[in-house]
Amino acid sequence: MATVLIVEDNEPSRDALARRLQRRGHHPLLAIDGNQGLSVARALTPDLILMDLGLPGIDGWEATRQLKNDPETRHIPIIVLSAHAMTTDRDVALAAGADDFDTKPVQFQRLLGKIEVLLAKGIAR
Amino acid sequence: MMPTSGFETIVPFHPSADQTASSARRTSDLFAQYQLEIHRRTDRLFAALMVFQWIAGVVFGFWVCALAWYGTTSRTHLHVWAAVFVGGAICLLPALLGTLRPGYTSTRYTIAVAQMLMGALLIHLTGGRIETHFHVFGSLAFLACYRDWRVLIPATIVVAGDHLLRGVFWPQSVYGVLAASQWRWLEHAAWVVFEDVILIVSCRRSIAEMKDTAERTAALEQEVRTRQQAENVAALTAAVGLALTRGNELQPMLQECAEALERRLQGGLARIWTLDECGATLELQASAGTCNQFDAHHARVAVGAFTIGAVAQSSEPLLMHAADVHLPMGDAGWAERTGLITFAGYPLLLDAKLVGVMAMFAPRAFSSSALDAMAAVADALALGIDRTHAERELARYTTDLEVAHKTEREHAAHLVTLVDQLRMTQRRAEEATRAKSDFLAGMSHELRTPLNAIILYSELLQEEAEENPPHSSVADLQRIQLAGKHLLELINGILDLSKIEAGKMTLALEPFDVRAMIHELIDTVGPLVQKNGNTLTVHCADDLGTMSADLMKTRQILLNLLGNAAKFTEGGAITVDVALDAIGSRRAVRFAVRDTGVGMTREQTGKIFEPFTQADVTTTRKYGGTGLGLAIVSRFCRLMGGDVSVDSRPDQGSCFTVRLPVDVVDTGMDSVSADAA
Repeated sequence: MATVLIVEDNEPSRDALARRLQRRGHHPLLAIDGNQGLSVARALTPDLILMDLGLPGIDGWEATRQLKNDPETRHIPIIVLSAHAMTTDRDVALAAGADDFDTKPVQFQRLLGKIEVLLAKGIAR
Repeated sequence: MMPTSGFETIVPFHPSADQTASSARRTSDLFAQYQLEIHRRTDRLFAALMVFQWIAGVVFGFWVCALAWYGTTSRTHLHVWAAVFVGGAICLLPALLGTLRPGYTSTRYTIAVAQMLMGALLIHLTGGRIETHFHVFGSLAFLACYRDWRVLIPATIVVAGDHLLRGVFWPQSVYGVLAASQWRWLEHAAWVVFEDVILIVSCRRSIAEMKDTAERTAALEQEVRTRQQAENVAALTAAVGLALTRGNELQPMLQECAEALERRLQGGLARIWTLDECGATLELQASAGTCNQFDAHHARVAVGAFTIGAVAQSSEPLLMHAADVHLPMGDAGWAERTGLITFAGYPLLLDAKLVGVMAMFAPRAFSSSALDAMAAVADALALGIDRTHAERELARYTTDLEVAHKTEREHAAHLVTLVDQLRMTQRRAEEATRAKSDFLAGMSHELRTPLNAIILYSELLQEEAEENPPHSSVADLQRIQLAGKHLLELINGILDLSKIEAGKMTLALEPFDVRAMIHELIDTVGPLVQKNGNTLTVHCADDLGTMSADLMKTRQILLNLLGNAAKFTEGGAITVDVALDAIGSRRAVRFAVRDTGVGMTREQTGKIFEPFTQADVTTTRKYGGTGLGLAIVSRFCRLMGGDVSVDSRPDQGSCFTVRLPVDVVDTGMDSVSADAA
């Protein structure tokens, strides 16, 4: 049981992912853009963040960088989800401080695996 | 310098022999001149002397015994009248001859006879006084002034004859006595002969000295002439040298040389021809001297024709009589009329290569120094002509080179334009490629977003439907999900292909154990293979070991082939054979995936490695798939330096064989980052 913040501007994607995570026993938090994502993350300190890259306002890279530069939120694992399948996106995302990267459409089982791994790490720390 | 003996024809007036002859001639000329001068002078002297003797004799006669007494009467002595008239008669002719025709032999001899007759008259009129006999000796001595001993002969004969005749008939008139001694004539004759001998000896000595003087004068003249010639030769050499070094234009340069030749060697005519480029014709370039009105006849002379052509053909100098020269104008008497007697023709040779001919006519024989000078001039002319030829050639080459340079520059400019165009085209192509890439990436992004929702929702609905029966909608939801997944595969395939085409696909090389990789693979595809009731057999050779390649791509290749085999085979057998092989000289691993499925025709196997060309249009409908799998397999194989081939027959199954090098080398296109995704 974990609190997972989904930062995603595409409503169907956000909704479907939230509902599926809920079905797996997680507690989803929602943000529709970078700014909202930052404030929710700072206010509620979720256990994990799923971050879309192409966001209006502050984009996913910038939001990730700010969260990872903030001592308050630095410990929160971030998985970047991108519809950009190019390898450079992955590198840029990891360089910005993201803990993992996955492409859309989301392969849900794989994503769940990555979430489990990161949460387990967090608990271990 | 060309030796004089190099002439083909040694002419009769060989220069050195000629020089000796002309020197002797000059000596005798000079001698004759001296003699004539003495004769003339002496003739005039005697003319005056005879008149003087006559007048003096008459005056003396009047003074000594003007009147002869016959008792009391006196009258002019008969001898006085004799002196006046006979003396006048004797001296009249020689005086006239000596004045009017001095120098003639007859004059001289007449004078000799007359002078001795005057002596005889004097002796006679003085009555044979012995003192008057000295007139004879004086006369002989004076006659010796002629320096011609022959003159003494008639003089002596006259004296002897006079003495003999008068001695016999009128001895008193000779010897002054009525009865002279019988030997008196002998005594007188001995004195005369004695004087004659002395005079003859002195005459001859004087003549010898005169000859000597003439010889020396001739030699001196010769030396002066030689020196003059040497000066002329020097001046000629200088003039030719100057003309040849200073001149740039062939014709004026050669004209200057021809004029120098004509002026300095006192030739009548000097001409210079050059050989034309074909080497067949001599072209007249320069002409100087008296007869250049005939130049038109000599403007072009074929090699071998006439004397000039012969000089060119033989390449030997030619010296001959002007009259024997064969001329193009065909006027045989020309040389004689113009007074030109000698001809000298020289080939102009440069290292035995003929460049022209030089010819000279002269009104006299050429001295050896003149011949030497001409030979030297011929050498210099050859050099000069060759120089102007070379310069002309150089100028032509320079022009050609300039033209070539210009052309080259134009070509270069054109090339630069082409390169610019090419660069622009390339930039446009790159821009197009980038645009295509960007478009693909963008499209991929745009497609993924709705797909994400579709797949997530369909999976969610499936989960919910499975939990809450009735399950009627599950099959439909499964179809939605499958379609979504297929769409995703397509997108991924297109992206891979476009990356390969753009040269952006990179290799992540790592060593791995082949057998382990195969077994892991079989675990993955096991369920898929068994789905159609197929059996799967794997044969791995014992010596496989490890290989170094892109593991992900190798797996993708084999997964694709195994997937295809499972898909197109039902209730059959699928076998995988892995063994060591070679690609050329490189060690390789061969993976053979064989099935007993539907197989393909030869026509179909020919195009299955191209994108979107499944064996049959119906295939997609029946078996699914993106139509990109084998295209990607083929490109991945090539990317790793390997290959893929197929052997298949309809209804008898297919066998795909992939060969990959054991040690894959990254050909390094854009290996910026390892693709471990």
